[in-house]
Amino acid sequence: MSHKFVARLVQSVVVLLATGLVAFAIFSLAPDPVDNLAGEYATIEDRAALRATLGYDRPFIVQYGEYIIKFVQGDLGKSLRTNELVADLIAERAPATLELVFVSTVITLGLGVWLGIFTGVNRRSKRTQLILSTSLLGVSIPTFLMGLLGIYYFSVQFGWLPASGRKVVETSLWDSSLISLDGWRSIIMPALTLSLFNVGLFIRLVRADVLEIRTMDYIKFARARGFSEQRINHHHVLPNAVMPVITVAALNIGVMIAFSLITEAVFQWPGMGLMFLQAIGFSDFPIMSAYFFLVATIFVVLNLLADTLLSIVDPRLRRGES
Amino acid sequence: MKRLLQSDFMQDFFNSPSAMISFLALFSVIFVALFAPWLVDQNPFDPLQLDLMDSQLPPVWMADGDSRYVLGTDEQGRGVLAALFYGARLSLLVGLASVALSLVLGVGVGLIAGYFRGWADQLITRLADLQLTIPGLLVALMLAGVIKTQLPVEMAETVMIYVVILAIGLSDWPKYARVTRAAVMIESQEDYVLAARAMGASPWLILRRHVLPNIMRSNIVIATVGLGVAIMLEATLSFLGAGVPTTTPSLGTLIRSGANFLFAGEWWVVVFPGCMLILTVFSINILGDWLRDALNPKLD
Repeated sequence: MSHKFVARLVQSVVVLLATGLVAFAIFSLAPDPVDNLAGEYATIEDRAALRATLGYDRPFIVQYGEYIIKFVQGDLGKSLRTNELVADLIAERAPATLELVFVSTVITLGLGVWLGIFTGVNRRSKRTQLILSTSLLGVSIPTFLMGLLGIYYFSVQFGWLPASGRKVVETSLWDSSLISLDGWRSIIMPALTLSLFNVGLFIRLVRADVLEIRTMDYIKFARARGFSEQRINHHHVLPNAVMPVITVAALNIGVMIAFSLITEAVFQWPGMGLMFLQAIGFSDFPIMSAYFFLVATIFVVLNLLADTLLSIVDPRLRRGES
Repeated sequence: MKRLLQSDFMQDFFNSPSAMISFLALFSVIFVALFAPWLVDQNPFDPLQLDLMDSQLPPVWMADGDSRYVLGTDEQGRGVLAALFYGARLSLLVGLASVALSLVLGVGVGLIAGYFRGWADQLITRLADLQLTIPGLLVALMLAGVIKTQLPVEMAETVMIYVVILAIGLSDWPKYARVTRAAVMIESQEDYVLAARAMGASPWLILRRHVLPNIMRSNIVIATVGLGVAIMLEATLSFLGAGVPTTTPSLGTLIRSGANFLFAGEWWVVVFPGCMLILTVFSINILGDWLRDALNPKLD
C-alpha cells in the first residue's frame, strides 16, 4: 500500500507541476509591469535596474518556481482590473460555488443511486424503460439550455422561482443560501440544472454495477439459502454497488466545480465560475491562471483521495494489479 | 451491397425501431445542414441579406408573424429557420472535425503505446493522465481568452473556429488512446500478429493491416458518443461567448443572442435552435447505445 501510494503521490505532484506551468504561462501574459512603473522617461539602464530589483531578470525556471511557491502559500497575485487580491476574490466567491455543488451532489447521489438500483433490480419493468430513455434524453440536453428552459418556464411563465442571482443570509462564517426559504428558492433551479447531466450518468453507472453483481455466485447462493429478494438487495447488492459510486462521486465533485461555471453564467450565480468568465472578458490573467490552477489542483487531489479510499475499502486493489 | 443488407448488423438495425427513427432524425439534420443554401432563401451569414426592419418577428402562426420567416427572426433580422439550417452546418462540422482529430490522435498514440511499450508507453500514459486532469471546457475557454487578446480582432474571429475544434479534439483523445492501447496489447499476442512478425512484416504494416481493423469497433462506439459530447461542448462554448463568432452563428451562438430576449417572452430564438440541438444529440446518443449493443465490443 505505502509503496503504491508514494508512487501515486509523486505522479500527482508531477501532474500538478505541469498544470502549474500552463497557469504560469497565462499569468505571464499580463502586460509588463516595468513599463508602467518606470514611466516615460526611463532609460534602458533604469529599466534594467528596475527589472533586476523586481526579479524579472531571473531565469524562467526560477520565476516559475516562485509562482508555484507563492500559490502554495495562498498568494495568487492581484486582479489587473480591480487591484484586489485574487485570493480574497476567490475566498469571497467560493461559498456560492461550493454550496451549489454540494446541493447538486446530494441531488445526483440521491436520484442516481435510487433510480439506478431500481432499474437494475426491475430489469424488465415498463418504468425501467421509461427511466432509462429519460436519462438518455437528460444527458442529451446541454446544461445551459436546460437552465434557460427552466428560467423561461418557472420564472417567466409561472413566476414560481427567481430567474437569477443568489439570496443569502450572512453568518459569522460565510454568506449562506441554505438557511432561508428565499435562499433555497434561489439555489434549487441552478442546483437541479447542474445535476441533470450527472443524474443520467449515475443511473447508468449504478445500474451496470447492479446488473453485474446480480450474476455473481454469492447472490445465487444467497438466493439458494432462501433469503428474500429484498434482503439480498439490501445486504448483498447495495454495499457492493455503492463502491464504484464513491470514486465517481468524488471525482465528480471536481467536474461539477469546473462545469458549474456554465450554470453560474446562466443564472448569474456569483460563484468562482462566473468570476472566471468575467475575468476572461476583461483579460484579467492573474484570476484566470489562479482559477485554472485551483480547479486542476482540486481534480488531482480528489483523484488521489478516491484512489486511496478505494484501496482502503477494497482489499483486492491493495495487493494485486488494478 | 446485398451482402451488407443481409448482414447481422443490418438485420439488427431493421429490428430496432429506435435506432431507425434516430437514424432518420440524424439523417434529416445532416440533410438540411448540407443543402441549407437550396432550402432557405436567406443566407444568415451574409450581413447584406439581413434587414433590421424584420428583426424580432414571431413565428408565422402567431400574431404579427411574417410568412417569409416561418420560425420568426432574431434581433438582427436573421430568419430563425435559415439560421437553424446554417447553424446545424457549423455544429456538425465542428463536432465531426474535433472527433476526427481526437480519433486519429488517440488511436495513433494508442497503437504506438500498446505495440512498442517501453518509454513511449510511459510517456503517452502520463500525457493522457495530464490531459484528463484538465476539463476540455476550461482549456477551450482559456485558449479563447488568450487568443482574443494576443491576436488582432479579425484574425481572432477567423481562427476561433479552429481553436474550438482543437480544444475539443485535444480534450478527448485519452479515451481512444486508452481503449486502443489495451486492445493492441491483447491483439499483439494473437497468432496472426506473431505469424506476420515471423514473416518479417514491418511494425507499421502489422499495425495498419492487421491490428487496426481489429480494434476499430470499440473506437467507433466511443466516437459516436464523443460526437454528441463534442456538439454539446461547441454549443456551450459558443453560448458562453468563447466559440464561433456572432457573425456566423452556430446553434449555441444563436441561443446566446436569444437568451437576452427570453424575459421579454421571445422564446423562439432559444427554443427552436435548442430543439435542433437536443434532436441531434439525442439521436446520436440513441445510435451510440444501439451500436454498443450491436457491435458488442469489450468496453471497460
